[in-house]
Amino acid sequence: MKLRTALLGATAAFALAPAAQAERGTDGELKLLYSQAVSVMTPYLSGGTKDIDAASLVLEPLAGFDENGVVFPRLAAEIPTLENGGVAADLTSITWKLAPGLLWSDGTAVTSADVLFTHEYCTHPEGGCAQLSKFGGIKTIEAVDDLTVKITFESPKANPYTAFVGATSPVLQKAQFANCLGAAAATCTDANFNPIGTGPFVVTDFKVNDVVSLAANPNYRDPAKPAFATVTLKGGGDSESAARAVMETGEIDYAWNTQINPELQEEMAAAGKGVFISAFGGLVERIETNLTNPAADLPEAERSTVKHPHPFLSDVKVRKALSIAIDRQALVDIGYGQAGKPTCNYVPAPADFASDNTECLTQNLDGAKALLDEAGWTDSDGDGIRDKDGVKLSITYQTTVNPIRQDFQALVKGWWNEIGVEVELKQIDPGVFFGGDAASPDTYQKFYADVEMYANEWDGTDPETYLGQLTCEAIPSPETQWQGENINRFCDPAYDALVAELRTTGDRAKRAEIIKKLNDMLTKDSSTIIALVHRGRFSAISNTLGGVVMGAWDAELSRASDWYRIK
Amino acid sequence: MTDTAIPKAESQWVAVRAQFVKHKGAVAGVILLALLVAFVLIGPLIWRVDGTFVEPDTAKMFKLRNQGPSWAHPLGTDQLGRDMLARLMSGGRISLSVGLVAMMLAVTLGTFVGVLAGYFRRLDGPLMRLTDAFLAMPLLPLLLVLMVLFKDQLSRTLGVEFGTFLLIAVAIGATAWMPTARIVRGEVLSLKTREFVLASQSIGARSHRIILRHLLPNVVSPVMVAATLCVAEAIIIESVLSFLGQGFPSDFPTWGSLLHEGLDDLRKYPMRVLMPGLAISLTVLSVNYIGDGLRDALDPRIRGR
Repeated sequence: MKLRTALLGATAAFALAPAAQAERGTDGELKLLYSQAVSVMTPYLSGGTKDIDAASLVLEPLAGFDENGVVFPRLAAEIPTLENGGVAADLTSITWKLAPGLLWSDGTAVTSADVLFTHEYCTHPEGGCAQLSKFGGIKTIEAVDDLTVKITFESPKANPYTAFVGATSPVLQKAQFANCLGAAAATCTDANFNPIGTGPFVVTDFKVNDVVSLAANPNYRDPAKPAFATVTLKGGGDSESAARAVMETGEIDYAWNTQINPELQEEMAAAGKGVFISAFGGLVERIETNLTNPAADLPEAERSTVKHPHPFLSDVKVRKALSIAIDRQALVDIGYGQAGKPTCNYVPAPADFASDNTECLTQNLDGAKALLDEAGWTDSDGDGIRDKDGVKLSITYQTTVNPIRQDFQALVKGWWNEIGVEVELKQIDPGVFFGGDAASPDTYQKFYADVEMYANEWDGTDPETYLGQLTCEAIPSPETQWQGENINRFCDPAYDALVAELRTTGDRAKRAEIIKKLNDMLTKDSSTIIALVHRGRFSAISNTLGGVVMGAWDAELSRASDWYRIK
Repeated sequence: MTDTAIPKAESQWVAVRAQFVKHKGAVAGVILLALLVAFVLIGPLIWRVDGTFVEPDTAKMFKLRNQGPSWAHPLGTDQLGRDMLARLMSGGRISLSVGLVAMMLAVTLGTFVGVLAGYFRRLDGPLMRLTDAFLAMPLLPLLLVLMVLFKDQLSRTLGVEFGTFLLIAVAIGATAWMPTARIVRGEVLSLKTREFVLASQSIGARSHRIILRHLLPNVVSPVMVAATLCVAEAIIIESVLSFLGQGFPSDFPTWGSLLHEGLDDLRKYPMRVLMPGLAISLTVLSVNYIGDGLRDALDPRIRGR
């Protein structure tokens, strides 16, 4: 399959040459299918991926993320860096320069006033901006001239590419949205459904929660793009029928999020009308170990708190044995197919941030047994379960209700039983599990179990805050109303020091080095986090659609200007 | 003195049995239910395969996945290579017992409340308002709350399987008695004014005797219908709870959860949905027929015709 993707990439590269000389709007209609229908054309009023993706056809940020998580200019003339002086040496400000001659789709010029206005729009105290976090930590934002914007941060920011970078914070036209500030934002339906943008397409018809029709933007900055004259973005259905529409009937060019089971994937790929493409971001399905004792006979306020270390999971050898007893490739083959790959890492991407930690990828049941023997865990009473000093290796393994996760539970239980560990499975409604209600005993933060499985990722490309979640101070406890993301109750002063260092390091290569070290402390060295599957975005494209480069760091449609029809 | 040959008095139950075996559907239902019970109770003693066993050797496990019927696995295997026959057996044990226990509880409770409300005028108001109150309660949220409150404690004291079983059966039974109570009350109200009840009252029979001797046998038929519906409902509610993560954990398969699991692969492996579905349908059907036969047999007006 990989070879096939590579070949496809190669043919696409050759095909690009003629496409570069193509004219705007010569390739007819582009048909997109989203299993969730689009409800609004601006990311500022919706956190939904489908809305962010749809809006990225029309609205553009100053810069975007490419498939490797690297920033590239869109409306900006170039990317401000430490080297070119765009980012201040003390990391407290960043200066963006707009490319000259940019026009909105209505023919007016794009200026720094629009950028300033967008910041005002999203940070308005009365508005409920969905992307507010993108603008966090900004002290002032000022227009140096018509094309230059300077953003000053409250404190040094090692990663300054947040505001106006990526499809979640595009630039809005001041003239159109001037009356839509604060509480009025949601009432400006005309502007929200048909925003004037700089992107390759403009909205011609918007049917809420149904179909969006778009046409090529006559004022798009590249005169040869987009190759398609019109776009129809249809919403509704489910991922299976969406995949079928591309792979088997061929009526659709691009179907978003076609997560289906591996057997169906193979069956549909055999029909030959399209291919599945995937891109891997930071999403990792994993088993978290509880380093504290969740025993039910402890007083309520002391269960799963640092007061009581776990009777056996605090032993690194036990955790490691549990980790290497798992066959991660089998999990991928059963649950995800092309949409996943086995991993040992907590931070599996972008490529330069990922540690070369591959030790756990080969299952080693004998090694796991040897490790447990070595640590003194033997089956002394002959019941098939290992024990030591009267404590049995008996694990409660909880996760959310989800067919793939239940299969994973059954498989992992089989392997752990094989090495002499007793496993009791537990499933919790996802709404409760992730709900964060301090009164419920079943939230993932409370962690009243020995191990739990779920997936998580970070926002954007930089995992700094994500790694910062495992510092000692972020341990959830009754005192913090069980808030906090350090759900393993992992606490290592060396780790905390390294996180502090990461926060003040601006150089990407050095950051990568620290990130890898932090990742290894959690995974390879301590097996505190047992990473299982690196999950990716998974979509289907028709064989006749060219130029698609899927990345996991920005909206999937954000580079639709490069797409063309293979004739 | 003349020797008059008095025909030997036939006991009521002999007559009931005679009438019952005349009902072909009921007999078929009893046989079918007996077969199903034997399948889940005696089956595992003969077919000694663990339905939750997953082959730890992954290479072997992949070969075992999604197999069709064979000698090693008469009903094939599921997506993780687990034996479907063994899963159906252990699933049936849980589903059947949940259904039967919940039904008995609901019928007993419902009949008790219904008779009291229908027979004693003073109790009618309060008991029927209680019934209304229970009917007004949203069933599923109530069950979920019960699960959250008591599941952990019961699992701890009685073990996961039995604790969950008891809780689910009692919870379903305790929330399904209201229709029976209403039906029984209505019947009792109309029976109370009939001549045979008045006659028995006039010769000074006590209330409990009238209820046991004259009223209960006459409300058996509607109760039976309610009971059969209740079995089916209990099996289905149990699978809904499993689906929401509040029923049995996934390593204790039930017919409902097997059906739900199979839905994903319905197109490719329809047998996996059909088998537990068929088992549920057959159970409900046989219980329905038995109820039908019992109603005819126990109703003196129909008996003998």
